Amino acid sequence: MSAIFVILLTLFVIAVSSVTTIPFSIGLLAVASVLFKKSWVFFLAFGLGLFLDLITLRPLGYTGLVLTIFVFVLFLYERKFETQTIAFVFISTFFASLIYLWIFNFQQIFLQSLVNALFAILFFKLLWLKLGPRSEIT
Amino acid sequence: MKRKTGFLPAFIVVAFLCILILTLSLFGNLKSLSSFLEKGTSIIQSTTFKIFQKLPFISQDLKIKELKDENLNLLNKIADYERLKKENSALSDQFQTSYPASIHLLKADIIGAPSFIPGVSGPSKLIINKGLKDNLKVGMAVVIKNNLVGVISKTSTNLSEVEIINSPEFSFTAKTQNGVVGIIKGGGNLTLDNVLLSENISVGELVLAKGNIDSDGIGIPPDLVIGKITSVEKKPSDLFQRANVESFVNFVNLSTVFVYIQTK
Repeated sequence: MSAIFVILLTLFVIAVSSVTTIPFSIGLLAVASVLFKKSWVFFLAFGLGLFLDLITLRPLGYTGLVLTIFVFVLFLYERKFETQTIAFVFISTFFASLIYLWIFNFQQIFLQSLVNALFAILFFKLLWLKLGPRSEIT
Repeated sequence: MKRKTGFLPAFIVVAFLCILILTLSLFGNLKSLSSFLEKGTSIIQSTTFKIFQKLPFISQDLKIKELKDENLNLLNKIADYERLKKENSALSDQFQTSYPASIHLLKADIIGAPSFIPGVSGPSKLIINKGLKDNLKVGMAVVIKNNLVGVISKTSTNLSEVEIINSPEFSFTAKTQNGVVGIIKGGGNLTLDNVLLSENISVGELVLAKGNIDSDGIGIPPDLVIGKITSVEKKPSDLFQRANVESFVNFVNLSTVFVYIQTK
């Protein structure tokens, strides 16, 4: 059930990434990292990065590397702090989006990061409601 | 709470894979793979783009669209008339003319125009379905009718990225219909900058490209319409005057463009 939900969210993010510059993929990865805490999130980051590189004509692997490092940092934080909170999802998505949009030279980076962080909270709440407040959802 | 610690090997594997692919891609060893993958992703991209273009709050009213097209045609005729007037004057002076190089336009469909809020905020880049296999090169001008849309900033085998004239990184030499020269700069709104204080520019005047085609035939051809002047900022204490320029192109609803290919 959780797999279907994640696949649907991933497909939504892929579709929306073609028409907007808001990096929804970061929000999705933040939510997947804090809720699932599994190694496959790295492969999800790699796949999303590859797709984004292809549609924006960047060198392949560039976005994937940035997203993978982001997931790694989240996993490191998970050892020290309670990450399954709205505040953590919001802050991590906001700052990661800010860095991502700055690296790739986008416009209105603060506003876009804010919108992305709010959407990440929405993804988090949706998944949380669907899957329940378990520490490690399989 | 039980903590997972087995993420480090996965991170190392994925990071190594990314670095390997990035290195190969930068050295141009993955062209065939990216060309193959692009075909799949461009279908997703163009389908999503078309769906969004059809959404009621994005697609324009038909009547407004017709009027805008008509306005664009009339402005193109004015620009043509000005160009012909100058050409005629030059011919009269020299009694000869150099034949212009053959020009042809390549039609390209827009498959992606990512913006902050689709349909509301304008994009700064467009993705078109033509690339290196169609002989497109970085720096080629992209037009719609006689209006400059932007220039090609990146190319891959099947796709190209177009940097539109509103983009902050975009600047080039332009002139008004009366021949006053300045520099067009993007950044949300178009501005005609670096115009000498002694020159006269007025609201409503057309702004045209001055042209910067290089020896390979790549660049912006002269006399393409950039837009019209909507306001002029002239302060006696400044070194230059500037004007705000409005493009006639509606970048939000654009679905087809033409690449200006000039053969030597």
